[in-house]
Amino acid sequence: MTEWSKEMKKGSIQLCLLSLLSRKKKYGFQIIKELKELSDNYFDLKEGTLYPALHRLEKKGYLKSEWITKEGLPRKYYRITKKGLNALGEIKNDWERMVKSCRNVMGEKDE
Amino acid sequence: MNSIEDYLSKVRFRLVGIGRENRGKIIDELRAHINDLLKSNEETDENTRKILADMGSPKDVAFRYKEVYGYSSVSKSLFILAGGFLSIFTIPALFLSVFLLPVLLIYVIYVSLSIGKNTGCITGVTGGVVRIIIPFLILYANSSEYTMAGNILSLSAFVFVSVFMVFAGYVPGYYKERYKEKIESVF
Repeated sequence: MTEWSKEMKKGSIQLCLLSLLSRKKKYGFQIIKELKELSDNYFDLKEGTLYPALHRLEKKGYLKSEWITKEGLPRKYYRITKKGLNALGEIKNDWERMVKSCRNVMGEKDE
Repeated sequence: MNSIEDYLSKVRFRLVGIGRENRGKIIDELRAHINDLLKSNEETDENTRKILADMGSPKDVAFRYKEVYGYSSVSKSLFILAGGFLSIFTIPALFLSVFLLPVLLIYVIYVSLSIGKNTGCITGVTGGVVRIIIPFLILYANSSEYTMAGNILSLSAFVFVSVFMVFAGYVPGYYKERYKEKIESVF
């Protein structure tokens, strides 16, 4: 993995997690799997990165967690809060601007 | 599965300092995650070994959580108290105090760098205050027999070193924070 893609992934992790959880509450293992599937293996997040990131978002008040036991397996589900939805809106706007700006700078507008 | 509990207890050990409650939550979540991983694979010893190896060393795993949670107030207080205790032995009248002074200085800088400028600063203040107050108490208690030992110069050196501890506790942590911010904010 190049330095560039490492930095990009690090920067987009908040956007990805908040987006995924804005649709439905999910637990960690499920998040890793879905991110991998949705991104065609580009986002292959390790648990060592995912959980601390989730905890950080929870501390900020963007997520809330609860333990739910299904089929005898206890799992910690995360769901997005109102504050998290607001933050996601801002992040999305910024993301759109960044993509547009980069495209312009790269010169793809001329084509 | 013994190797899993063994791995988790190593992570838990590395998480010392972030508070018991958070530590328990983190371990329970990791355990649930490992169970999910095992369920999606075949439950063999070989697979368990591979899963744990993929998760990374307990040290690395714990480090990332520590970045999120920092130290609990209980462990911060313990660090401060230890600094105060250590500083008793650096009071010039005591045997070995000259050798223990650098130890206290290194300790205060260590606290500042690993926990932060505020805890470092309080540790420095505690150390400095203990160093100044205890000799005065001793002098006060034995006022008839003892006078101020040494001259003005050594007394001011003593006070200077004590006050210096406060800076030693604050400055390293402050610059570490600033340096980190600089790296993180490119634009």
